[in-house]
Amino acid sequence: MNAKDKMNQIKEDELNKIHSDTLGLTIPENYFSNSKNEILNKVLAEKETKVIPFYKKRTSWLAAASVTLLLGLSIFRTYNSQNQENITNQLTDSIVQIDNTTTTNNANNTTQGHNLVPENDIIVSSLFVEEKEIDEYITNRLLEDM
Amino acid sequence: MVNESDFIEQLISETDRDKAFNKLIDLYQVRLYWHIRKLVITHENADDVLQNTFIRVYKGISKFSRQSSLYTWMYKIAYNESIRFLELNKNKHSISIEDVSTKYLNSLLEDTFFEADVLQLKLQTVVSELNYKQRQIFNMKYYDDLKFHEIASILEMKEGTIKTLYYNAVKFIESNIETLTLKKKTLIQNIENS
Repeated sequence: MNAKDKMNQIKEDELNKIHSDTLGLTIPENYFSNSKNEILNKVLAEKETKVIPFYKKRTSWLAAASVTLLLGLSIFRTYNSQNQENITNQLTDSIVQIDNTTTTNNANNTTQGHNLVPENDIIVSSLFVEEKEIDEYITNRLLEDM
Repeated sequence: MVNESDFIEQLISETDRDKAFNKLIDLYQVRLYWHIRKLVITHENADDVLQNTFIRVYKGISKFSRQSSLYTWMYKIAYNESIRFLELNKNKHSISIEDVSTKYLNSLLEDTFFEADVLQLKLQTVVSELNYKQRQIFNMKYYDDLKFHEIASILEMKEGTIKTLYYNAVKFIESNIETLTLKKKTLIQNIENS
C-alpha cells in the first residue's frame, strides 16, 4: 500500500466514523469488499452482452433503415397518387353537379316560378337585405300568426 | 500513482480497462456510497444505486469530456442515479424527492442499519427540516467536503446560489440545535427543581 492509498484508507475510515457517529448510519460487515465483487460481476455481465461486433451492428442498422425508407416511400407514393386521383374525381363530380343543378334550376324557374330556389342562394341573398327589413318581416309574420 | 489524465486513458483502453476500473472502485466506492446513502437513506437502496452508478461510469467513461475532475463527474452520476431511483420508486418506497421531514425520518427509523442515539436523532430531525435542495447542499459541503464550485457543477446551479443556500442551512441548523440544547437544559432544570 503506497502513501496515497494509505491516505485514502484513512479518509475512508474517517468517513465511515463520521457517518456512524454523527448520523447513526451504519453498514453491514465487509460490505465494501462484497459490493466491489458484485459491481465487477455486473460489469462483466454487461461486457458479455455487448459482444456484437460494430460492423454487424452497423449492417443491421443500415438494413433496418433501408426497409423503413422503402416502406415509407411506397406508402407515401400510393397515398399521394390516391389522394390526387380523389381530388381530381371530386373536382369533376362537383363541376358536373353544379352544371346539373344550374340546368335543373333554370328549367324549374321557367316552369314553376321562384319556389325552388336553392337554400344556399337564400342564405347568400339574405346578406344583401337590411336588418330593419328582416325585423319588420318577422314582426308582421308573428302578428299574422297570432 | 498515475495522474488523472493517464488514469482516464487506462479506463478507456481495451487492455488496461479492467485493472483500472478495479482501482477506480477502490478509490471512490466509499465516498460515493455515503453520498448516495444520504440521498436515498436506506442501506439497501444505497447499495442498488451504487452498483448502477459504477455500471454507468464503466459504460460512459469514453464519453467523459474532462471538463471537471473524474470524482466530480462520478459524483454527478451518483447524484442523478439517486434522483432517478427516488423518482422510479416513489410509489414503492415511503420517500420521494419532495419528501417531508416526517417521511425522511420514518425511512431512517425503518432502516435496520440506522443506530442513532438521542442526540444523533435530534441532529437528523433538524437536518430533515431543511428543504430537499438545502439538505443536499448541506450534506455535500459538510459531510462530503465538496467545494462550492463542485456542488454548483453537480446540481447545475450558480455558485452564489449554492453559497446562500448553504449558509441559510447552517444558520437554521445552529439556531435549532441551540433551541434543542436550551430545551434540554430547561428539562434538566425542571427535573432538578421538582
